[in-house]
Parts: sequence; structure tokens; C-alpha cells
Amino acid sequence: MTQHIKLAPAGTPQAGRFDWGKLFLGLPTIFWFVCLIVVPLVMTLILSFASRDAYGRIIYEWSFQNYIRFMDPLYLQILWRSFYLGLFTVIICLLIGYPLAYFIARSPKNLKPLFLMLVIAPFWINLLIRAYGWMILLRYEGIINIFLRRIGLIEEPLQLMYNDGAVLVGLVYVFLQFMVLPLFATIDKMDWTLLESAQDLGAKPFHTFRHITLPLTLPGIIGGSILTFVPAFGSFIIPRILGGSNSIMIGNIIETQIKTARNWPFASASAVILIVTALLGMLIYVKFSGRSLMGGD
Amino acid sequence: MTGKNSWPFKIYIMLIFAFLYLPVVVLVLFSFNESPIIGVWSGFSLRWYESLIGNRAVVSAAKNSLIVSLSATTAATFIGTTTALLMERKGGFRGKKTMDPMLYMPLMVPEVVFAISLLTVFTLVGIRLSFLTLILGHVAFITAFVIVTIRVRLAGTDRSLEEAAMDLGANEWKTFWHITFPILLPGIIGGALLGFAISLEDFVITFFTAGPGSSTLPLWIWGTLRRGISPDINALSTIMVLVSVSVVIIAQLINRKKL
Amino acid sequence: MQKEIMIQLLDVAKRFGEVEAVKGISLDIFPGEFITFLGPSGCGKTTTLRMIGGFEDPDRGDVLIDGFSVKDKKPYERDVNTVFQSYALFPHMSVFDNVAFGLKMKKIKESELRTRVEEALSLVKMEHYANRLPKQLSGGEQQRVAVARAIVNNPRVLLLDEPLGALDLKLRKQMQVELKHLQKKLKMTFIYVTHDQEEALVMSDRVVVMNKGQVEQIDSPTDVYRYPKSRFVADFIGETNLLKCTVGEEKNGLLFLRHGQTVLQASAELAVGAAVGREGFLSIRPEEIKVYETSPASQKSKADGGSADTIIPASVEEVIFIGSTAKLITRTKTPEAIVLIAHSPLAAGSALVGKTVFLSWSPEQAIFITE
Ligand SMILES: Nc1ncnc2c1ncn2[C@@H]1O[C@H](COP(=O)(O)OP(=O)(O)O)[C@@H](O)[C@H]1O
Ligand SMILES: [Mg+2]
Repeated sequence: MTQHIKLAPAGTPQAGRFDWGKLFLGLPTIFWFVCLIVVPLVMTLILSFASRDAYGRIIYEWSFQNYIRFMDPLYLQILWRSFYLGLFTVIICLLIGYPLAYFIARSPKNLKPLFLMLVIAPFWINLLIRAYGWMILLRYEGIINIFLRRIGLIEEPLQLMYNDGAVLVGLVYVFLQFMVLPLFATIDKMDWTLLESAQDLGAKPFHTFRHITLPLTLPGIIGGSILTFVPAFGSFIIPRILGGSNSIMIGNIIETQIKTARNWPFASASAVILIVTALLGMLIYVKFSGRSLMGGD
Repeated sequence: MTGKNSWPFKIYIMLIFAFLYLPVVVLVLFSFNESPIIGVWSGFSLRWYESLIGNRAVVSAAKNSLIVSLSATTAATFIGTTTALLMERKGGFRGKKTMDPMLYMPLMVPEVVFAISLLTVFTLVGIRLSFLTLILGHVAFITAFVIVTIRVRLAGTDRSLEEAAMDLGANEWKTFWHITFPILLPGIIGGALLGFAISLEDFVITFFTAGPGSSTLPLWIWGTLRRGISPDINALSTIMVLVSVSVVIIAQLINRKKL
Repeated sequence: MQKEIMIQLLDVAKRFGEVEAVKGISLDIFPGEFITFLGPSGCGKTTTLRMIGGFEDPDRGDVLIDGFSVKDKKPYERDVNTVFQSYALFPHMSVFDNVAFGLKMKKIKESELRTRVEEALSLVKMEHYANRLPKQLSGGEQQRVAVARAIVNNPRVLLLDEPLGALDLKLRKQMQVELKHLQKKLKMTFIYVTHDQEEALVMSDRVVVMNKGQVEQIDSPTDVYRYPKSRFVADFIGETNLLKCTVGEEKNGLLFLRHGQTVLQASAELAVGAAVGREGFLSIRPEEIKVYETSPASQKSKADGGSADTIIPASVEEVIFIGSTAKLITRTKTPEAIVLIAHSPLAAGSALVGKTVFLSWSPEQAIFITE
């Protein structure tokens, strides 16, 4: 039964008719993806090499001048602030999100959806309203100051808003779900018998956590960190409302350049820098966290 | 394994929940305050809600919000359904492998960048900022979320169901109509509700792509906020919180419904 | 008399990327027969079946139904129905609506539809479950509904892809019988896929043994079992002793085969393509080996015509209880050690371990296989 085999190339198109169904399904996708996603982003990239005249009109002369202008310490400092605020947001979100996700994953089956819902619900509130909620709490005549004065802890109201701390609180509050959900997904999937057997073998709780739980949930940690870092790093409404002019982030540069200064090419260049920095940060992070947690002790 | 949480852990979790709900509770609480001073409770009242209803700008902004979110959701659900079908069912078109991860790109690009990119295109192409641009902006943003939701559902359904229908004599369209669509419907509704919720939740895209005359609720709040805080905003926020959260809960319930 | 051919596979092949699932299969299937594709998991049975059903397009070759190519025909244009391994019952439709689906697609009148659905359901004894949803049925019941949903359309051919795979052993045996009866009653052509050799042997008129995307042998169940044409078939179906041999000479209708120093005999008539010097395998089924405690040579005269039984002394190394008989693992002594497995009546029992016995078989039961 030796057969001589001559193979048709893999993936030969199906014999027969033209698939109209595919075309029909493809058109909306193309419209959305090409017109509303790819073209705008590419345009922004292109525009970042253009310049503008005194009236804010775009001049199509290509140069790196927007990028060079961004190298000013003023902007670099803002970029740096965005970076460390993003980083701290991730860290605090981890410190809050991990125990929370762990708690939900380990709660009884019938309560799990309820807890999950309770955690997620606040994040469906309009971003602006959530920021406003913190404004009510933190401002000079805000609830926290009123409360602290009422219990006699302070004489004069504290300046709680318009600093990095306030922005950080806001960022954590607004983006915590991006940390909790991936963490919950991995912790919930984790094989608990592994933990039990580790304890069975005499591992102390900390060791169990360090050598079993942590590596197993690493994908969730990395995924959550990325999902949290990107929007935190690029946010503009939180620093705008809670940070004022003291705590400007790169998103605010973009906003000002578009809405006030009308320098679109520079705004575009800032946007490109934002994306590139975020990507770089993520790459380094993935490499670093992968090695330090998985590798040697 | 449950119920073994230590006390410090429990307290920590409670503090986290307090952190999550404190701003919301304060917001809602003072929307029912008699006094216009937020922070000083002076009695229960619905006066801020009454004043909202009497405020023509708010009513028209609410209408606009609803129009924008509903239109955007409708379009995004349509695109989301066809894309999910294309990716999960119409195996083997060229470039599918490359396309696949790119569909998630919108979820990874910071919203500000997205927003100004859309603004750039609208301006350069010469579409004046209006309802249309606002709706398109929302469609651009929420469709990726809708696709993800519907795809998960579609991937979870047994492909041989559709083959069985074809085997029994149903052509592609009849198969879709009698089998795929009814089975996918909870996913589609779930995706639509999610898209709607995200559209309601959005501020950034709205902020950049809305034109004059298409003021929506978040934009009204933004405008009012610049003149300082006011219980009006609390009342409006409370209503919006209620709407958003109920939409999401309904979406969750529908999505969880098993076959 | 020339039998008409119902389905013809002409050198059909299919590959998925790097995997050559089916490497060119040709096959004729006749009306009313129960034919089974048998082979290990991953050998391309499902893919072949799906090409007949129209769910995969062959890369090469053609499928003919009643003499016409169905290459460009979609599944819904082929007069063929399938029972899917996962049953694929529509979860949002009642049992009745599931079974009625095919008839509705054909726009059959309501009254006729009702009688036909009821008829099909009673054929599989599910007439009382018409209003249930699939999820309210057990696995076996779902399986019956899947069969009813297919046969109600009166297809020319019914394709069944491991339809009993998900059932427990007892239910599977019962359903094997029922399906076979159903097929006889309806006189419908069944193309059946399974990896369970016993199931294939029990149910089929003909068995197509497949391996790595190719057909190894097409024969009746008895012939496939008794006269395997390849080493794979001998090995895959039932248990056998396989010895690597070279053909020494052919004499008096017997092949004399060399296995090392040992010379063994096989019937020349049954050995296809055996020429002197050719290498191959000798297959002897354990149940064909008779076990004697004393040498049977003295009892048996050579008068009955030359084809004397082979007799080899061997020591019993292990005895394994396998139900009605015991399996002996034995090792021959001279001229060299060969491990042979034989079946012996239980009575002999474990008392034999360590003892020397005499193994004997007739040359007709020793099949020489050249591949
Ligand atoms: N849709 C597919 N994509 C890729 N590989 C496939 C596909 N279908 C089958 N295969 C591969 O083709 C081979 C034959 O599969 P199949 O016909 O299902 O085998 P069987 O039914 O005999 O177990 C297997 O190696 C399988 O992995
Ligand atoms: Mg198979």
C-alpha cells in the first residue's frame, strides 16, 4: 500500500464559489478598523513630523522639531512625573488588588459573583463623576477636612488636592479594576490542591506564597500591571481635576496643545512619545518581572 | 479552604471596600442634602433633582447622551457581531493571524491618544465636529470591547451545531438565522450592554470629539464644574451611577445565562 | 452481477498546514452496507467522513455520490446526513424541533412532518421525550435523538462519527446492537467511524482499516481479523504474536520461514506476495495456539496430508487471568528464545507457571505478512 503522494499546497482556497458572506462580514470590520483605528493613529504619527504657522494651521514640512522641542527639561520632567505616577499606581493597585482578588477567589461560590460585582460596579460610573467624588472628599472645604476638623485633629484645613498624592489616589481609584480582574482570573483558575500539598510538605505560608502562589499568578500580575500602567500613564482627566497645575502629566500636555495652544503637530508628537514610552516601559517590565520572579531565588 | 481569613486580612479587605465606595456614597448622600454646601448635612431634600428636571440644558444633554450612546452601541454591536463571526467562523482569510491581535489594539492605546487621533482625522478630512463625529468616536472606542464579549461567547459554542444545521439542509443564511444567532444572542446583548455602559462611562473621547451643540451629560458636568462644585452635579451623578450600574448588572446576568 | 456503487472516493487527500490528515484514499461504498472506518485516533477517519459530508474540501481527488461529483456541493446540497460525535443537538430547540429541523428546511408539509418526526422518534424509542430540551436528556438519550434527527430525512447515506464514544461500556454495547438493527430495518447505507476495533467487528459488513491517513485494508470483519494484510492491521485488531521472518523456501503449499535459527511454517496460499528471500512478519493469534502439557506429536499421525502442525516446547513465564480464559506468556528454548502469547482454558491455571508446555498451531492459522 505504498501510495505516491503529491500534495496540493496548504490552504488552497475552497473550490467553488465566491464567498459573499465573507465580504458582507468583512465590510463593517474594515470600516471600523481601517477608518476609525488605523488611519487616525497613522495620521497622528505623520502629523507629529509636521509644523504649524502662527494661526495654528498645519504646515506640511517634515522635521523632527516637535520631538526636539519635547526634549526640553520642562516636558521631560512632566514625562518623568507621568512615568513614576504610573508606576506607583501599578504598585499600589497591586497591593490593593492582589489581596482583593485573592479574597474574592477564595470566597464561597455563591458569594463570588456578588463580591465581584461589588468590586466592579464603581468602575462603571462615569470617569468624570468618579474624579468629582474625590474632589468632594479632598478639596479645601472638603469632607475629609471638615471631618478632621470636627474631631479636632487639625485646626486649619489641609491642602489635600493639587499634588501628586491626590493624583495618585485618583489614578488608583479609577484604574484598580484593570488590576483586579486579570488577577482574579488567574487566582481563581489556580489549582488550590497545589497549595495544600505544599503546606502538606511542610512549607510555611510565606514560602508557599513565594514559591507556588506567586509564580502561578504571575501572568495575572503582569497582565494587570500592563493594563493599569498604560491608562494611568496616559491619563489626563485625573491630573487635570485633582492635580491642577502642580501635577501635570503628559496627557495634559496633549490636551493643552490641542485645545489651547492649537499646536496639533506638537500634540501628535507628544502622543507618539506617550505610546512609545508606554510600550518601552511595558517591554522592560515584562522582561524584568518575568526574570526576577521566575528565575533564581 | 474558605472562611480561614485572618482578622487583619478581613479588616484590610473592608478598608478596600470603604475606599471603593466612599466617594460614591458621599456623592449620592449629598445629592439629597437640603443645603447647597456639600459637607454639611442639613436635612433630606429632593430639591436638586427638581432643579435638574427644570434645567433645560441638562434635559437636552441627557437626550444627547442617550442618542449618542444608543447609536454608537447599535453600530458597534453590528460591527462587533460581524467581526466576531468573521474571526471565529469564516476560517482562513488572508492576514487573519495578523489581524487577530490588532483587534485588541484599541484596548491598549491610551484614550487621549485615541481621542486626538480621531479629532485629527475628522478635522483633516473636513468633517465638522458634530453628533456624527461624537458617535463615530464612541463607535471606534467601544467596538473592540463588544467584539471581545461576542467572540468569547462564539468561541464557547460548539461549531458542530452549525455544521449539523447545514447537514440537515439549512444554507448559510438559514443556519445563521435559526442556529447561530439564537445561540449567540445572549452574547450579543451582553456585548451591546457592555458597549453602552462604556459609552456612558466615557469622558475622554467625548471631550475631544464632541462639537458645539452636541453637549452630553459628561460635558455639561465638565462645564458646570468649572464654575465650582454644586449639588446639581451630585444629583445628576447619582442618576448616572444608577443607570450605568444597572446596565452592567443586567449585562452580567444575561452573559452568565448558560445554554 | 455488477453491484452499483453508491459512494466513490477517488484518491481524496487533505492536509491541514503541516499535517497530512488524509493521504489519498480510494474506496467504493455500496448501497445498504454498513461500512466502518477503523483506526487509531488521529489517523484521518473524521476528516475522510467530513469530506463525504461536505464539511471539508479535499485538496485533491473527488467524491462521487451516485456517480456524480459532489465537489462543489455544500453540505446542505448533499443527500447525506451526519450523526455528530458531540451529537450537536440544538440547545434552544425541543427534541421534536431538533428532529423536525431537516424536514422544515425541505419545506415538508406540517401534517407529514409531524408523522415523520414521530415515526423517527419511535424508531429510537424517544417518542415520549418530544417536548424536552436536549439538556434535560441523558447522554444515551441525546445520542438517540441525534440519530433520529438524521434518519428522519431518509438520506441516501448516514455518516456516524464515533456516535457511541461518549457512552459508558454497557450502554455502548446495547446501542451497537440497536444501531445495527436500525440499519438493517431501514436498509440505509451507514458509514461509521470508530477507533474501537471490537465495535467495528461487531457492527460492520466491511471494515476499512486506516493508519496515518492511508487505507491499510478493506475487508469483512472476519477477514480483517483472520487474514490481516499488513503488520499494522494484525497488530491493531485483536492481539497477536508477530515474528519477524524471512522466506526460506516454498514447498507443498507451505512457506518455510526463518526467524533467526528457528524455522516456522505458514500457509503459502494466504501469504500475498511472498517470494523467496522476502522479509516480513508471521502473525499467530494467541487463541489459535493450542497448549499441551505433554508433547502432542505422538498423539497426532502425519497421515492427514503433509501440513503438519507446528509444535514448539516453551516454558510458561506468567499466567494472566482474562475472564473466560487465561493468557500464558511463554518463552521457547531452542534454538533461541521467542516470547509467545497463548490462550489456554482456565483449568490449566497458574499451576503452569515455570513448567514446560508444548505450543502447537496449524499452518493455516499462521499468516505471513509482507508489509
Ligand atoms: N481542522 C483541523 N485543523 C488542523 N488539523 C486538523 C484539523 N482536523 C484534523 N486535523 C489533524 O488531522 C489529523 C487527522 O484528524 P482526524 O481526521 O480528526 O483523525 P481521527 O478522526 O481519525 O481521529 C490529526 O492529526 C488532526 O490533528
Ligand atoms: Mg475523529
